[in-house]
Amino acid sequence: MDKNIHIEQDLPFQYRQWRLERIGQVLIAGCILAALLGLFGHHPLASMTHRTSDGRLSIHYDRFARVESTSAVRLTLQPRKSGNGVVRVWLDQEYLDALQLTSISPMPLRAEAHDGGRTFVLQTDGSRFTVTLSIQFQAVGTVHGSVKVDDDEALAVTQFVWP
Amino acid sequence: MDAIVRGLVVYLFLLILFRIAGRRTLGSITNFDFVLLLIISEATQNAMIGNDYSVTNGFLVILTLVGLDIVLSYMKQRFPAMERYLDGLPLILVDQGRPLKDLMYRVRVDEQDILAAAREKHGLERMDQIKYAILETNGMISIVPKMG
Repeated sequence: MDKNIHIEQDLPFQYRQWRLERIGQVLIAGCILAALLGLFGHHPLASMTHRTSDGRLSIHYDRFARVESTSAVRLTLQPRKSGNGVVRVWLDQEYLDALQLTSISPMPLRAEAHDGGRTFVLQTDGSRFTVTLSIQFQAVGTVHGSVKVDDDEALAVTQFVWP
Repeated sequence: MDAIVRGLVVYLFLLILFRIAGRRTLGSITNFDFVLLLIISEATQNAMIGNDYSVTNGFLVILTLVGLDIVLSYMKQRFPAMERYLDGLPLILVDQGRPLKDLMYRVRVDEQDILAAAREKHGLERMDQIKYAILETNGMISIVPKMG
């Protein structure tokens, strides 16, 4: 090559750069694929359902969520015959600390501090129904929670919150 | 604190992303690149500002971005090796009228791009009138015409 031209060209460096570029392109494709498969949340495959052994309570939530973005937790439950249709939904404090509860539907009669957490008291007609909690995560990383109805078995929730 | 971290993360993310995308991606701005640029800035804005619309937050983000830019320019001056990694190096694509096909393929520049640059800058008509065509670090193609 004629070196009349004063230029800082370095082909070995350039080839190394192109190799890095290639790796980067694969990473970009990988991120897009992971997002399509639900790794970053807001995706049907990213949700999860747990059920208590007696089937009275089931919980449906997003396995992956994002900070300050809305997420929903759905509890489907069967009220006890003995309770006059009153149902007490309890959430533990660690979980409540990681998020902001923006709404709860149906609206509870009242909320009580109870057993290191909060209890929402709901009035029902005694048939199976769904409670929807709209939440916004305030913490980043893995969030653990625990939910129970009346004094039944508690269901554990584990969610990963992306920044 | 939040604003500074957000600004920093977004700045580094974009820096790395555009290095991966290659020089040509936003080097010569076509109409579509212009639209792309607008959309990217729109999407970035939310990530940087979050839900804090205060003037203070906006100022902090701007200060962070400009501050980083200043720091990087000092570092590039002090450590020339760093400049290569951040900006890349120029690359000769046409040598004495001979297109270097392998290099052109890798940087996604074709002969038409080079001829277009030659026409635009020097009114050249053919490849053999070009002494050198160089892909500069900013993604532009500069042309050195043959004498005589």
